[in-house]
Amino acid sequence: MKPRTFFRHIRQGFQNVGRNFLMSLASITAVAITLFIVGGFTALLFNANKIADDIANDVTIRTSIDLAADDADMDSLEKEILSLEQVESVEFSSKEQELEYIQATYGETYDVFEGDENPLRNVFVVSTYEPEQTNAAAEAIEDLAYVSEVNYGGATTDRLFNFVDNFQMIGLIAAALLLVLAYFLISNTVRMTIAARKDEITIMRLVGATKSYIRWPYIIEGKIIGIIGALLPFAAIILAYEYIYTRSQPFFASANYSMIPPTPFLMYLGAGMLIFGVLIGTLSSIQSMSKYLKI
Amino acid sequence: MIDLHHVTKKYPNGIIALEDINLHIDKGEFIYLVGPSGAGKSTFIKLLNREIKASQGQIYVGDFDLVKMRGKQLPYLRRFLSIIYQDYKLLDNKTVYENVAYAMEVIEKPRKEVKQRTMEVLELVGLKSKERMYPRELSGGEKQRVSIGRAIVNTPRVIIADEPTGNLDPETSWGIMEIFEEINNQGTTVIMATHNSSIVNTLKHRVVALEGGRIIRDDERGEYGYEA
Repeated sequence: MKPRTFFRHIRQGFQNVGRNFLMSLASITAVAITLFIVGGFTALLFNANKIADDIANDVTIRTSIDLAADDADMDSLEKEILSLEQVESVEFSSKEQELEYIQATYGETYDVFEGDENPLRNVFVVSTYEPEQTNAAAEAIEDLAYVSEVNYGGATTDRLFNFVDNFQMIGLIAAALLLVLAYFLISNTVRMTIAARKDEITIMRLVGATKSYIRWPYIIEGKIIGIIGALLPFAAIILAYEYIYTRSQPFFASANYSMIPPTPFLMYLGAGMLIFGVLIGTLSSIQSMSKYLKI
Repeated sequence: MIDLHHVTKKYPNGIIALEDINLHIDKGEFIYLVGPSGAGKSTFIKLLNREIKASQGQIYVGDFDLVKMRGKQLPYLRRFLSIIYQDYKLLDNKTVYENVAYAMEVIEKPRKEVKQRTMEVLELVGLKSKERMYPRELSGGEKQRVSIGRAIVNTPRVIIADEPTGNLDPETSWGIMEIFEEINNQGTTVIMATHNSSIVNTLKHRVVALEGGRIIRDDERGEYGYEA
């Protein structure tokens, strides 16, 4: 293609968008609304995933140490726990620290237990590499000497892991369905825009234009519609996300969970939306045109 | 220049639009194609432009063998031979200037050349002052002149006009005919399907009469009419 033809096509593409203003507006709106839903849902899905992971990763095995254990016993217990294949880290929390934590969480009522009255035990807080290993690690720790009690939430934790797994699966399926739906919605709109100009394409063929010469301005038009149709909802999602992120931070911070930080997450999301919009815009214009180019 | 040998066109619904047509047209000729509605004139034009394919026989236009021709060559055939349609077939979203220039742009002519030649042609068809208007703002005669402008802008070797004066008043029709005469004088072959007897009988040229899908008459400097 000669450079002047290339620029002619670009100019034509923009001209087409402008001169078929209402049709272009309809297409851009359809693309924008669809991509807003897809983008919003993706952001929601990723964040729900992240928080579910946060929750799952937050699960630790609290190993209460037998009162009979002296320092040497505790050291060797710590080593034994660390030597388990599932265990990533072991953190010691003295019974005083445990009490402080309870006091901080539940209030001064627990002040009476200070000093010798402290009924709590020293604790090893054990984290595993993967949340799913919690159960196996807990069982192994239970059999070790000087372990008085192992607590990791048991059935509740297992249910949580199940829930997180199912949630991720359902989320993925829903996202896939939504993408397919978005594809059909957008490609149908672009098809309608081009079908309305069937005569135009036929005339171009009849005055001696090659197929590719006719195709290019339409492809560029499809790309422009895809780009504008992606940028509008992207801007809306940035605003909404920043707002929710700022508002939710204090709420989540106390629980050790957090939403995905806007950068670079929103950049990836935006790039994804843009690529998706442009790709569908282009593909559907090529597809719908080929029918009219046959003459 | 144009040769048809035993050409038959049968549509899928069984109707035979043209039957065993043999015709030779030389370079620079001016031919009127006459005949009642349904005689096969439009089919004849569509065959030459390869909008449709012949069911039987051979068609040659210049160096193009329309039977063996591949789809990729179609644009080149359509630049060799331009068609002017009764319903104008203008691009509604383009201005008068752009409609005419489009035919030159598709053959990737430089912008400067496109501009110069398009203005020349607009002058010739008398539409220089309306170059920025859209087809919807023009009268029937003006649209027809845009369509003629587009057809001649690339100086094709053959121009085929399908009832170019069909929707026009007599005065405008004569204006259009002057343009055709001028194009023909410059060496372009002109084939014109028409129902306009006064034009055929005044500006005398070869007349080919079609009826029921067959050529019933072929006269040098003939008169209008389709009786054998």
